[in-house]
Amino acid sequence: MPQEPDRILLRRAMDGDVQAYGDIVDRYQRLVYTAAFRILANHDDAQDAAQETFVRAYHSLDRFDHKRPFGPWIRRIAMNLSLNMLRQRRPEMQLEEERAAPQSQALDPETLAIRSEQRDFVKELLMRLPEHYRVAIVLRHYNEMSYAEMAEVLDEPMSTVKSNLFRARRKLAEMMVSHEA
Amino acid sequence: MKHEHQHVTDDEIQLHLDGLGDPAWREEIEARLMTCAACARRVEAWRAMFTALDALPQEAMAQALRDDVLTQLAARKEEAHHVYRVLVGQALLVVALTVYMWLNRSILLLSSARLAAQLTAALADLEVRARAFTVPSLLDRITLPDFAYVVEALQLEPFASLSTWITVAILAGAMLIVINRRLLNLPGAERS
Repeated sequence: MPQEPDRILLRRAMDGDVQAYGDIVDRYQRLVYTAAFRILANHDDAQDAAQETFVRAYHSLDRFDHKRPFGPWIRRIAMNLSLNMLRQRRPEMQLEEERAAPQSQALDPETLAIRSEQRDFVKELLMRLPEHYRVAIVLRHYNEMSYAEMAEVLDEPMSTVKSNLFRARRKLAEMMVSHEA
Repeated sequence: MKHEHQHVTDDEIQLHLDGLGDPAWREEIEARLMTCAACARRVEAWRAMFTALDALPQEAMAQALRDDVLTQLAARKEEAHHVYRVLVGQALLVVALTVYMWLNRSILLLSSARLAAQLTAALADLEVRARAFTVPSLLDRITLPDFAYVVEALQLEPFASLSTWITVAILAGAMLIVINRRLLNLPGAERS
């Protein structure tokens, strides 16, 4: 049986059909959960954040532009909620001891090369990064945000955002290299 | 003169792969990559990392969210209904009290006049007792004009006007709503 388009399900949900919204939850739960987990790096917190995301989204459906895709919209809600949870969990996201100066030597391209089967490994390493590095990478690569959008969401200057992102990728690369060695 | 090749840095590679930098700078970087195999290999290694980050697999979930979300929605809906029932009850109480007081305003005014008379009598009695016991310090502190002022204030003359009553009712209702929004955390007080 073909799936009903999001637009129809959302319209029914707005008319009070909660089961239709349940179908939306089934459809987007992994996307939302992943967005939360990438930021929070904790399964229980991510589960709570994902649940709260769907509840808030339901109450905000009247503000959703139905001409646009639902995925990025709800992922954005999940991201904002998760960032707030992260700030509450640890108010000072910028850990000074993690702000080491980048190393000057270039990374070895052979060891940095990533095969497709190693993506799970990259994901695992990503979760081991310090919070502010992990968040920078997640916002850029998973949420596909520009530097300016990241600066707005994180309430930081664009230069800081850029610097953190570059250091985060470098740190990740170093972790991969050291693991390979 | 020998021109020494300058390898692209990791930061330059990242900026390049992010699609940033002005066109002239990007052209220069691309030219350097064309002429240096080592730089080109490093860019490809970084590109592979970017690709991996862009396409990370989604996380597996321990349990589906559907039931929990729908239960939460039902619970919050019930909570909202309860809150609105409380609010409507309070509003009706304010209106009923206002109407009752308006209908009985003559009694209230009469009561305040009676209270004034009682206070005046009590003062007179106090004064007599104070004189009997000759306590001058007490007499110094309590004077008739003070009580007269209190009595005058209790006449509640403005409350004889219907518009005053309506204004008071509206203010009381608004105050209740504001208090309730804070205390009961009504929907709409918080936006995602």
